[in-house]
Amino acid sequence: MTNDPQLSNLLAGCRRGEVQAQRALFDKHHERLLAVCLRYARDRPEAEDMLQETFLAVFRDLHQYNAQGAFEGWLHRLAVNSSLQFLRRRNPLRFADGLDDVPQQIQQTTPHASEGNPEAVLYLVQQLPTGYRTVFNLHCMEAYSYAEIAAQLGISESSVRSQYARACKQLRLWLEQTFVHHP
Amino acid sequence: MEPNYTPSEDRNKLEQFVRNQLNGLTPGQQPELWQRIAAEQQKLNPWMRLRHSAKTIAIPAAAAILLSIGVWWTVESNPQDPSSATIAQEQSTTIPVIDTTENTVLPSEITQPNPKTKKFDVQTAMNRVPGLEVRFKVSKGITYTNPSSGNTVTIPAASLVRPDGTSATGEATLFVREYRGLADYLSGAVPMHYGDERGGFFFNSGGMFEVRVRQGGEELSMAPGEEYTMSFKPTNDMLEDTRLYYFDEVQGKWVFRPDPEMGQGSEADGLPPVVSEQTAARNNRMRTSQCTPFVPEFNRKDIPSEMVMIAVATGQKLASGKMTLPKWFVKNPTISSERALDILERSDIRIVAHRDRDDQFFPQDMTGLFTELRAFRGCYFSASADERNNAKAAEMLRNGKGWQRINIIQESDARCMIVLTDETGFIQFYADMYPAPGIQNFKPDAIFAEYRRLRTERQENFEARHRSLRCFNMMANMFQTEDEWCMEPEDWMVYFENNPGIMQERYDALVQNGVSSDENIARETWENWRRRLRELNTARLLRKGGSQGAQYILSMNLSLSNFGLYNCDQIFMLGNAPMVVAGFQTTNGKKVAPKTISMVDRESKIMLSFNPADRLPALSGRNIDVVVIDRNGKTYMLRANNYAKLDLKNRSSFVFNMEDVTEIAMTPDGWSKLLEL
Repeated sequence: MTNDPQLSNLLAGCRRGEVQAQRALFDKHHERLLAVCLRYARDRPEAEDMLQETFLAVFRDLHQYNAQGAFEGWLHRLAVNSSLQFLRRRNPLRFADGLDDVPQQIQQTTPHASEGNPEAVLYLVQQLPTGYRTVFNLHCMEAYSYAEIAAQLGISESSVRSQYARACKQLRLWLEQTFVHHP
Repeated sequence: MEPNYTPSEDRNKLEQFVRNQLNGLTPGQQPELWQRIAAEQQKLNPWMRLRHSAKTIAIPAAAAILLSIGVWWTVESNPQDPSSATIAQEQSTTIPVIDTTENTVLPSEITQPNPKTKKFDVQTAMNRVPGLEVRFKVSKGITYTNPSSGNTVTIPAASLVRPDGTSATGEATLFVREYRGLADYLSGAVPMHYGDERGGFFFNSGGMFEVRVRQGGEELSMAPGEEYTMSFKPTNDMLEDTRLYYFDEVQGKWVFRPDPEMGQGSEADGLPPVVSEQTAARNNRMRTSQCTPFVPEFNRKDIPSEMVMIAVATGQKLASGKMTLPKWFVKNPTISSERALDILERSDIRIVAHRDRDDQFFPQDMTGLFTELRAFRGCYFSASADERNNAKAAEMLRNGKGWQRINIIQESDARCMIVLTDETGFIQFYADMYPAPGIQNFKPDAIFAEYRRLRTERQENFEARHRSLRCFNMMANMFQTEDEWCMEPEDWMVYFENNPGIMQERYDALVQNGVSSDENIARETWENWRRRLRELNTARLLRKGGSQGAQYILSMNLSLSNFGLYNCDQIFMLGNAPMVVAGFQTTNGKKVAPKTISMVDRESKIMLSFNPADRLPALSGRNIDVVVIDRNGKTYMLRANNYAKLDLKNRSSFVFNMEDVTEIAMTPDGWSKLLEL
């Protein structure tokens, strides 16, 4: 078990199916996991669905957590896996889609764009097509290699590379439109 | 946090900016989300509680079950004793169930099937696989999903009848039990053999399910023309030729039940297809998703592209019959050349005396292995005077015994040392070489030089042949199908020999593409393979790390008219093995009278089951667990490591010493520990 007795008790309660313990675990971690899901989702409702699946998976698989690594890390991985699972189930072909449907000019209603805050960047990331967004998140945020992403998504490594390059190119364009203050 | 983005072509800067921004994201608390999660989780928590408490209730539950079996057994043995019968019935009906009159159902307590309506059978009585019970209204029907497996049973509204044929009404209890692996099959004492007009076969199971509906101590049936459905995910979607079987409880045997979803019988005879033991074992290995190819282990001097070229050329020769796979290599595919030479360089060498001069002899190789002895044609040897005085050596040379190996080392001119080796050791002695009468131009140096040349040539030929076979074996994974990756090298080479058409086509195509002749193509082939190996390895690691293991297995939607036990299985035939009449005794020498006998292969995860009177296959050297349940429900086991040591060759009967494992084998978990599953 984990060295943190408070966490140990909490996890034991969750494993026993105790609602109070599950609620406590949710309260403690849901905000951070929602931030993960938001990156993979196209909007907040979708992220909330992903978060719901994440917590159901957490409670279901908690007995598999062997306390070998940080609990937060295990939760994070589960959130990423659940999000990918959600996307794959919704449309398995989306990982291969292209940039044709990407708007070249972001609407001026981008939230708080002028302040350059994280919500604005998140909004831009969410505007990427699902495949690009997923590849971008896995490589840039989770530091998976191209080969690992290819294996995870069931697409070729070269496809991962090209999707990542195009995602970066598109994001760069949007960031310039959104954040760079031209004199 | 960087408030503004600075335009740059440097991707690292872009990544750094986005990473900083997104890591600083604070989406805010969402407490209302909990309500949604809690509503879903509420359905699963009872099952989690059950899973958690299973360990603590297992022992008292098992004790209660054993007690009821004991009482039950007494009842069966003394049917005239009505008081005992009453006790037995009370024991078996004190099963708490959750009353759910709606279609949303919750799993209940661990329970055992109600035995009252059945004739006593030790297999049913000893069944320790947990089942689930739910109550439902017959008029509404029920759709119940097992939370642990996701399998769903649906019984239509008003579709059940009582044993007397009248329509059932009111509430009934649905009982569902699933068997999803060896531990469950053993724990449930489920027979794992099937027979039809072709003979007897064994099951290699993709999972079983048992569905029953009871009302007031009676077993209900589906009304004529009605069917219930079972959406069942097999535990192993790698099994070839799986079919559906139904356990006929009256006859006590499995019956093939053709089903459009699971497959019908073969067209010729309408019977289920049979696979070989090797196929069953291979399918089981594939199930574990560990069938990634071997990564070649190279020696220092190995050049991969060169090895690819040799491998393809050798494969084509072998497939086309221009070369044969030696049995010793099939059995020892990883042996080194030196070790192989050491083992194989054995012949039958006789010391043949000169017909006129008994002090002279010639070493004659009866099998022709030591081809270098040709160099001494027309020559004889004579042991030196000192050696002739050595009585032991002289006797050994005279007695006509055979020697396995010979080496002759020139000392000077015609003087040499002869080394003869047999299984117990060697002798060596000095000798002089003489020409046979009539031989002119006798040149000892030239003769010994030719001897050395021929000997070196023979050994180099062997090494070259061994190397080509080694390359063929090491690189075989590159050209195999994914199914073939699941075979051990030894098994694959047998498969190779048995499928010359497929193999010739495969290797001919490679040769035509220049893989055996163009070094650049061979190198590119190797590089592609290395890349693929890395990808496969990554995929395997991700699969191992993920929690989503087998969820892509498709469900079978089965429409069934009979309640009872069903089996999604392939059937296989055991290869040729000698059979023995088996007896069993405890470690104290007490005789064990088996009710059921099972054998489990640790490596292939194949399970065989036998009737008490059956002879057992003698699978010497294999890691086989032998399991016997006697008529009193006691469980005995001969562990695999002990079985592997038994010498069953040429035995017509054998008494196995069995360990009493009754206490451990109370549950599927106990079996998992016993079999190290």
